[in-house]
Amino acid sequence: MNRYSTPTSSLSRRAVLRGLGATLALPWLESLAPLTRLAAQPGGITTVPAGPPRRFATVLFANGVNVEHWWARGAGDAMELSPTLQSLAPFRRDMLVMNKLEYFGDTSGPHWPQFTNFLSGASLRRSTIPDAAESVDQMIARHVGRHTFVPSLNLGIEPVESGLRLGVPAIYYSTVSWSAKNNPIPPEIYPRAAYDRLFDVDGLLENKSVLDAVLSQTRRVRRNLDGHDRAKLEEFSEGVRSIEQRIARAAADERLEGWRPTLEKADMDRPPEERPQDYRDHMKIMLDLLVLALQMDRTRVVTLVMNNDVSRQKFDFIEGVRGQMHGISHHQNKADRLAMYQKVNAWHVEHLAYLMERMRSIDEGNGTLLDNTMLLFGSNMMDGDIHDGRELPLILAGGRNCEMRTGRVVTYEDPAERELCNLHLAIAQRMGCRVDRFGDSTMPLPNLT
Amino acid sequence: MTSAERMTRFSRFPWPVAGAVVAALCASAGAAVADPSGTIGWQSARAVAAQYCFSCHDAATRKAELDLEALFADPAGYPRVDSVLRDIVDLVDLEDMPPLDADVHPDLDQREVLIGWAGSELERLQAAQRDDPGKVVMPRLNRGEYARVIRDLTGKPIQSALLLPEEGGAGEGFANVGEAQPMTPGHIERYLAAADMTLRHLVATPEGWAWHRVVLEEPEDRTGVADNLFLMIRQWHMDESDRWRRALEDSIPARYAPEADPFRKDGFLADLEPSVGDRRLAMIAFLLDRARDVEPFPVTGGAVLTDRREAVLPDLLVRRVRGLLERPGEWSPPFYRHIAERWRALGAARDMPEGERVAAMKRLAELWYRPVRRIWQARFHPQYEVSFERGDRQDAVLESVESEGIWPFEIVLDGLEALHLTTARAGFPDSAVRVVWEAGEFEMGDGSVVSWDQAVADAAVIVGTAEPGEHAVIEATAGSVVRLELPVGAEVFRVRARLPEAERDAGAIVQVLVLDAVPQGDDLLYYPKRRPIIDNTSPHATAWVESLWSLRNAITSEINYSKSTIPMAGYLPESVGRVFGFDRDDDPAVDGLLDDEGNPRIARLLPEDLRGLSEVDRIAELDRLYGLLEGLAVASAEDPVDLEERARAQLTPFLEKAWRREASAEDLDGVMALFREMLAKGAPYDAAIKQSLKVVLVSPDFLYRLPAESVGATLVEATAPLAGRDLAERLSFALWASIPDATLLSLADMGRLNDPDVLAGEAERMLRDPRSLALAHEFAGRWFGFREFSGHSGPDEELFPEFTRSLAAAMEAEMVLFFDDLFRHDRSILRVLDGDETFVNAVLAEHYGLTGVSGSAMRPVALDGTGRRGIIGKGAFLVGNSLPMRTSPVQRGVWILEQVLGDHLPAPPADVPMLSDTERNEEGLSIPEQLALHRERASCASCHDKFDPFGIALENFDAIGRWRDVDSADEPVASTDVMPDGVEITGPAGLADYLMRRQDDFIENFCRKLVGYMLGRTVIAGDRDLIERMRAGLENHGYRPGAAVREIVRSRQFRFRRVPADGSPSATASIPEPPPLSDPSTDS
Repeated sequence: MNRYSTPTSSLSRRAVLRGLGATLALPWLESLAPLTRLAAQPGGITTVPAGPPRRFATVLFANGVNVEHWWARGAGDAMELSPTLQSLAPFRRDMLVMNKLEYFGDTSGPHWPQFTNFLSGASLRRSTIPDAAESVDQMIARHVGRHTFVPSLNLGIEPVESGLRLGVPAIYYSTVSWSAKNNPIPPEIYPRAAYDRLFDVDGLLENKSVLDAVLSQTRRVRRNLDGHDRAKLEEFSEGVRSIEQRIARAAADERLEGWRPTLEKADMDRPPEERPQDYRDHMKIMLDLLVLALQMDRTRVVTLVMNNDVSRQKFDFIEGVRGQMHGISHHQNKADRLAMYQKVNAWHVEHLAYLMERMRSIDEGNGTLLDNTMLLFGSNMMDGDIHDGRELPLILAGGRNCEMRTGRVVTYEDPAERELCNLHLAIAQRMGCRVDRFGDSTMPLPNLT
Repeated sequence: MTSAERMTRFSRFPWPVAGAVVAALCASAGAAVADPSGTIGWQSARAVAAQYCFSCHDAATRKAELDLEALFADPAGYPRVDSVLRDIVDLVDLEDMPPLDADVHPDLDQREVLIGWAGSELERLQAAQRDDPGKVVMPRLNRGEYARVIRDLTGKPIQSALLLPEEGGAGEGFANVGEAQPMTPGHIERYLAAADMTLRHLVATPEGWAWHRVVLEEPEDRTGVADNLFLMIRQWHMDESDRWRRALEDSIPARYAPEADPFRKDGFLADLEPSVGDRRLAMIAFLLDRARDVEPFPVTGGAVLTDRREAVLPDLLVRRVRGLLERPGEWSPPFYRHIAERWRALGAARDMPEGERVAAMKRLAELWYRPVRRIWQARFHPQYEVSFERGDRQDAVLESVESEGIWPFEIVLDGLEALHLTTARAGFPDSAVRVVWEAGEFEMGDGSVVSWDQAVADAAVIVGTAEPGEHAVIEATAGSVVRLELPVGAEVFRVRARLPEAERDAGAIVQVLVLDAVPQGDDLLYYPKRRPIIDNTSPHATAWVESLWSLRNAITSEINYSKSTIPMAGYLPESVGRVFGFDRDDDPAVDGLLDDEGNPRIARLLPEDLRGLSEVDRIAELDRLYGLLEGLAVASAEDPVDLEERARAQLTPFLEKAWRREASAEDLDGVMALFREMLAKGAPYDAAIKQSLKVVLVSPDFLYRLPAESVGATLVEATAPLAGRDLAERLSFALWASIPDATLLSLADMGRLNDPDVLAGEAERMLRDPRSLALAHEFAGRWFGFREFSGHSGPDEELFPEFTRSLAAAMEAEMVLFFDDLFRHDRSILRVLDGDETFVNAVLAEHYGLTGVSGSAMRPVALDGTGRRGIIGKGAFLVGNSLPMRTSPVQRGVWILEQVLGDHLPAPPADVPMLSDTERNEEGLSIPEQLALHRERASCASCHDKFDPFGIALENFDAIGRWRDVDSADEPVASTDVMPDGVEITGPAGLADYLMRRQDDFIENFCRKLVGYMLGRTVIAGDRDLIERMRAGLENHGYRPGAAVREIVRSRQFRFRRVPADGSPSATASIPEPPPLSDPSTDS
């Protein structure tokens, strides 16, 4: 990209800061001292080390798993792994296999009531207007996002469809991140756009005075509006202000925590403009972006949807697999389809292994990037054939420095503990959110530490 | 029950047209006498519901997400939802609910109690909301709208909207529902990026602005600005050639099928609006088509032909040639002068018999043609390639290209140290785009030949993507440059370029060049004067070659092109170099062509995308560019202009157009502040203007459809008429998905839009305008889900290798053109059900088994006798609703029931038995046979009976939409099934007939969708009258969609808006509730 690069980008940081004035003051101050106060919060958080920050990533594939081949037994190096999970063998000490969590708890009905709400636990009703609840990644981003260049990164591979699908907005099948009750966030599927969002500081700085002007214009316009239109505009202003805050942080580029990321400059080229044609290439580049974003602390919250719900993705590149993901998941207990299903599951799990391998190789001083990241991996259903929302296949990878005692298999037999939102709550608290409830949580998920 | 009764029962409840509703309303009327408050009705209905419904639809079970217990909890307290009430009336009456396998079923009286209550509740609701504008939150520009608005603002098809996220659908399934459009920081960033991208297409100088359709480098200084202008001038010339090519490739055949006589009164072109078109292009368009089968030069005897069309033609052509030749003194090549003289002599020989004279003219024309052909070929000699500077291998190369699709290069190196293998896209958006460079070798000074293996290993990719393959091959992507170091002592380099096998049938066209210098930015664009590499075996390529030859036959390059140096001296530094332009110069031809009567007639035939781009405008554009360049050269630092004044004068009209309102001083001050700030920092004018423009393009005034005037807060929710400009904007976004044009705005400013007749008149005008293409994309495209079908990759690649990208693209284009034709030419919407005309190109025609269509351009064809009628015969639907390895009668059937007839089905249970992946299951049963088994279960049959017969009737179309009489096991296709009402449906034609019998359902659905789209919200109970008026309008006007559009535009819903009560922005989120039923406790 050839950007006009004299006046604005050569602005001194000080000048930018002066220009920001009052809008900046409050959230910035608030962010100065959150960590000490946290100690008194409920939820088991005792200390937050002054070292590398904690991160939270969600990597999700839709349409469930071949149940027979998704299991783990035992603990530590002695943990036995099912064929599907076999590629995780080198990481047995770094993961927590969680059984029987659920947020839908039913097997009836269509797909849509149990995907887009994976991170919010919201109970969905049929509606043509998107209607769920804020997801946990976005709530965390709201709390910790101000520390980083980008509050959160939302990635996807398959495009968002438009219009309605089976009576609900098609975006229900593509995203699990919601910034508010009616605001699903369409995942970014273009590697270049995601890359620029993470690293294009100059581009952002250039926008500073533009956004100032837009904000004043917005204030003028606002006088003229009534009711819900005014609320819409408020949403717009808030968005503009949050970008301005990011600009201020980019301009300051000073880390108050005294910790610096292990990588100062991206070790990855700016990806090409086009979307990679091959699904595998696309997946890899998105995973690399995920690691890079966390490693460079450009954001602490990443969500990646590996496969849309009711996915049309074909996996023909795996030996012996034919047809689309969704079709394969309806296996009807036929041996050949179950075999294909298992192979696709294993393929997804191999990519978790890849992620863990990469993250474990990054030493951050007090441990590896993996130790400092809670990486939630799994699917929104158990058996895709019957849309089984009970007992989800979930793995929490990493997080050793986040009060997660890994190397175990934990089964939540008590129905009161079983809510997936309990896990979300536990993660949110570990990320520093001062909350004692989330969604339909009943308690922070026990038996993690 | 008689079959007649059964039939009426299929007319669904929604509005009182069906028997069921009449019964319901009678019941409610009867109840009203004895039960003025509705309490008794509620109590008895509740009792019935409790007995038969609550076991599934209570708070605990909520089957189908429905809690009827809550609905009945309190006679006044629960907001009645019209869709639920409608469902009660509908499903209970049809005995769909309780389901067949329920333990107990209500008797007739009980059903009527329930239906009666729900019917009267619905009536109350409808009365309370009658013609309510409804909740319409101000919409934000969605992706499609953004692209169109930018197009209308800049006049260029700038693709910046691709940076915006796709919008989910909402309301009735469309992307323009403000309530459902989030604005996250991520969205704002994307709008910033899109504004950047848009502005990269602009060159701004104090003398004026020029928008350009390709991305320009951001200029650093005045020279940079000049460079950009220079580039744009060059692009202008390229566009001219390109436009010419497009006229050939795309548009003409579509509008101009050989078998359709456009001069017939009822010809499909007859209702095109005559407009002032580009006469040159008209002429070309006209001649090209006719020239196709008239070899070698289109002059034949007029008198002997009887067909009227052809009888007209030769006369025109003779006159054309006369027109060309009878201008003395204009022919600089002596050859032409010679011919012209002979021609004039022929013309003067009045005593010569007509037949003889024509024959003589023909001979003369042939004489003329031969050298012209030579000249034409020479013109096609690529001007800039190193490989052709030597000249003598030209014929061999052309032959190789045309017969094998291989480009051989042979380059005498003359001491060069490096060469650049350049691969450029050749202009087709869907053409793919890789090239293989292979068999490279060097001839050394000693005569030995060395393979290029080492050079490949050392090659550097300078631009784009390319990689070495096996056997010293380089695979390069369009837009790439590979630098090749030449071994010392090499004298000649030979290499071949070809398309990879995989690209061939995709209609790939790519251009390859070997250059000595590193190509600069725009050299990587396709340049029309260079010859593209094509695969000669593909229909795409055949069409390309064919049309080029027709072009050559009809119009000589010598007449229409002249090479000239574009004057740059004085404006540009010498380093930029000189540029040659190819000017069209066919005025003599045009002037000689037609008379005053003929010109408009030809203009009508002009491809639509060329109309409106009148020659005058384009020349003016060129003049303007030169003007800017000149201004730049003349302006100097010693001659200060008031830049600020200039900027303000330039920004004002743009801002007003972009913000769709007058600019206040405050508005302008805010925007100008940035301009000043930038100038003060020493930024050039161009950059300063862009900073200001960015504010314009990211402000809420641009991104949202802000109401122009506030009505002010009210105490209770009220409605207010939309102000003139707001109404104009609502109309233009509804029909064009873009901003109003000048005509509409001036009517708005005169206050005339408040007159519903004027408003409706404008709607008619706008539907006829090409911009109404937006309806095909945004309305029909989202309704029927064919947007982006061109990227569909559902069919299994091994089983269906025939399903190529160009086929998918043609299928999407078919849908778009079909609906565009429907709206723009106001054709009956029933064509969706049984229309027997469609649009195809060669690829799709072959797929559909049609003959006589060539070329890649889409054109209208009749489908008589093919069994393919209506939307159910269209590829995008048939393929989109198939599985990878077989058809899916279930998906197809459900789609027809839901999308076409507007019915809604409950979601199937997850644990239903599945059908096989392929056409036969392990027991050898076909899909229809498996379905028949499936339907033996009552719980399955209750739904499957309604749609399986649709899907089975379509079994004659295979999974990629081809006609078939036998399935893959060579068994005859069974395509007969019986509907629950006893009607037997056989084959696609039978289905089309059946759908026509249920046209009321389709019309109902069409009306609801159109209301939802044009208003940008969900249809509410109060829209019932409007929909009734639309139905009546459609019936009275031959089901032309314009009638429905007019009804919406005239409606209160469209012309008013709700003003919410102050301070309660979200309290009004739900539709207003009907007047409460009286409290049962006080009633008794």
